[in-house]
Amino acid sequence: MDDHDFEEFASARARELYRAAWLLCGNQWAAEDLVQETLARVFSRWHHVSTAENPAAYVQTMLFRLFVTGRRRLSSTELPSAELAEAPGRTRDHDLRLTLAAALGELPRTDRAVLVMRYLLDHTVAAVATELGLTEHAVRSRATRALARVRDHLGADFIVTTGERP
Amino acid sequence: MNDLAQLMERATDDLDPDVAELVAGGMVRGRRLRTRRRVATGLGALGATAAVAATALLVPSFVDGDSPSNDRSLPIASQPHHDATAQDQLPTRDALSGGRVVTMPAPSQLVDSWGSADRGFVAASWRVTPTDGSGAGQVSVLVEYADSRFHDAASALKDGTSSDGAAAKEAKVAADPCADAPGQCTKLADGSWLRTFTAPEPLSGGGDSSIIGAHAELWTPGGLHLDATAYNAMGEKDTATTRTTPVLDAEQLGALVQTAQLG
Repeated sequence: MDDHDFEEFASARARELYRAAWLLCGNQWAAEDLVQETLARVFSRWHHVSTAENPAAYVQTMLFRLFVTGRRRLSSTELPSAELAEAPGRTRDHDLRLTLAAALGELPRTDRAVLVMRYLLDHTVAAVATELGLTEHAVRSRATRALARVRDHLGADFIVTTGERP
Repeated sequence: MNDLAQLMERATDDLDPDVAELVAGGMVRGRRLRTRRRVATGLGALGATAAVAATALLVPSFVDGDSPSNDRSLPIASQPHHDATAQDQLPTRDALSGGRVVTMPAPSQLVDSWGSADRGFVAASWRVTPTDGSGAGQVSVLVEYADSRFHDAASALKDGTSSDGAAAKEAKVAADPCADAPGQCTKLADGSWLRTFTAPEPLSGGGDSSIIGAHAELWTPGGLHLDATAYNAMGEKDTATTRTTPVLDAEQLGALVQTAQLG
């Protein structure tokens, strides 16, 4: 195993993984835990992952699957938190982040994952279906339902405008 | 006007995680995982020499912060169970903390367990070694409260949270959780839904893998979701295969989730 190669790969992917993880988890601590657990799984089998056709896609899929299935464990020193770590006003879109986190937080895990894959990562319905083990119809149904709930939170001005998305 | 893609982009654009810390933490955990896997592999080899028809193990339920020393446990039974009345106990979250009896139809060795009642799920994985000499494989069982398609759809319908034409779809799913599901899916006499299927495990989006997963999922009317998976390898991802077919087939896993008992 080449630790340096992994470090280089993980460093390049970590921020993107963290952004998705934050939207999935809704807070800094859980997002960090999810990213670290994902990287841990990848690191533990790096000699396989590094030779995969698309290691970046592999690690991204692993993160979402870990989140959806809950198959990760917090260490004894890590506690789940519903609070944001960032102080109000510290970040440019802090309020937006809070609102979005609240809206997404009401969704089932799989629906949250579907929305983040579709709208943050711009994955196709087919790709989301493959990565989450759902049918394409199920992805569309879940997205439609989840969007309706998010719309309730974000207000009437909330729209979806991009491409084929529901 | 707000577009969800733009909102997500804006909301996360200025997130600035400590990348070095994330990577270092991942590597530390990864080394632990590697060590655990090696130990488990060694234990599995030892266990195979003392194989019995079934196994009786205590799986920590981690009610208090994943503490293995907690007395509350998930007993893994040594005898098959076919208690139809077990379903009567399903519709409570307390059931998760009380324990779960799972019967492995072949010699097995506990490899890992995780989750807690507080977090809404408990799970464990085993190295299962059939006596036919065809090789060991991993079996994992997850028991979670809610978050299943059945429960989600039923709740959405009940709460009236559907809109924009989604109600009809939700009603359809609530009436039949198997509507969009691949594989064989049937409604059982107690109102539960059972889905079984076998499929290659995707290496990544669109990728191929020689690892095959047999799956059985059970959704109960009370919102519990049991998910049992068996592989022809000691993991779900990109590890060497140990046999040509999953160590348990979908039918065996279906029996396993149906006969699992609450403690």
